[in-house]
Amino acid sequence: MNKLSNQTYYIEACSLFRNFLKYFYLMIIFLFLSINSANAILQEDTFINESLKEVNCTIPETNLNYNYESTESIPVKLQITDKISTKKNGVYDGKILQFKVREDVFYNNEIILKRGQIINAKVGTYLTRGMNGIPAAIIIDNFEIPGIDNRQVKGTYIKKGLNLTLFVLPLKWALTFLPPTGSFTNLIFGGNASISPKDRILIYYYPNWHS
Amino acid sequence: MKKILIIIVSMLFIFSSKVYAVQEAQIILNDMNIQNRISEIGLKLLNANKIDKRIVFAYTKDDKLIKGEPSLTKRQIVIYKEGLKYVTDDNELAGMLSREICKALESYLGPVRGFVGSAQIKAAPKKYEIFFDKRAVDLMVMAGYNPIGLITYINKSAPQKRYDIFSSHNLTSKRLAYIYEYIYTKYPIFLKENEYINTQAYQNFLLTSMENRKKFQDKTEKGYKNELKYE
Repeated sequence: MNKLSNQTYYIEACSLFRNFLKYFYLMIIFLFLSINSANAILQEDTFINESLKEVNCTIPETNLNYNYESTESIPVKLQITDKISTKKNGVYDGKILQFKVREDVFYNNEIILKRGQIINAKVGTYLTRGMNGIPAAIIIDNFEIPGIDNRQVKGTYIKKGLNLTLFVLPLKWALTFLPPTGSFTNLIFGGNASISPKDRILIYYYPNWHS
Repeated sequence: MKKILIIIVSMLFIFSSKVYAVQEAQIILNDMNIQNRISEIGLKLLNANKIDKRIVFAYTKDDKLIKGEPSLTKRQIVIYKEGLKYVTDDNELAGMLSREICKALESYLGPVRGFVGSAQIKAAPKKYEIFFDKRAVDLMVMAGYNPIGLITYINKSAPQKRYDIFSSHNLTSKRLAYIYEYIYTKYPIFLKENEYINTQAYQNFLLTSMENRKKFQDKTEKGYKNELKYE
């Protein structure tokens, strides 16, 4: 009787061990597959790794702590030092531009910016001129005024070229009855955008905008 | 027997109506949560970028209810359930909203209280598409979001056409390449310390943008500043 029960225990133990081995093998196979697939998927951006390796990238400025309660603002009048235009690839994203302060700027009877002082700004982005009279545009932001937090400055300057859409669209609609003449109006291009020292640029400094 | 049957039927009716009411309440609560999330991120983008024009955000499940382009006519940014299903995190949602904010903002500019600006966008959406993508990156960064989210969102959601010569939209691969270049030029830290590098969406972008990235690499190495023609 004892012999028989020992035999059954032995058989059961064997089958348990076999099952364990079966699952153990499966686990090993899954583990192997998952490691291999992870390695196969991951692709590195080698160009970024190499080109930005030595570059000291700064964390860009954010504006998350604001309080727009105050309406007190101080105008800052500017003019560009050198003319730029979208005409001959003279504009590109992030291009640094220089602006001259046109008048002294005061706050609490203290001068904060002197006439003739140079400040930097960047081309945010630009739009080339297009069909249907769409004008080119240059957007300038990130005015860096010395001693003033950029988050307290409100001023994105947008300069557009000659807008012919008001002329083109009515002409297109008027020519609808004579197809395909209306489509030829597509070929009318808008004007290039340029900023010259003659352009008066106005941005505002909000001293009580806590940031 | 009849009484028992009537009791059972009435019980079933009461029970099913209650279940239906609970389900309705769940749906409303879920919609409220989505709407709140959209409004919160949208308003954060507006405030962080000091945008002093009124723009509102709405979530809808039924795109048939909305006619025209409300972001241009009413300055109301409508987010459809269809578009939202591709969003996996706040950065991607911010990317989606930022593009529409740029569009709504452009509709404020120009003659006739922005009517002409809106007409231009309607007349040449292709022209403005990449412009809005780039501006969206700026808005996202200023509000503390990762602009790579815009790449992953567009990569997942926008289909790829054969050609874009006669289309009113650019090839998605072209848009993605311009966004990538823009981030590299203005905010390289996001590419250097890329949080999305191990995600399937970004890896797929890397895989499918090899030719365009090679073009950009050549441009960078040679120090050119002119605009590239991506495919």
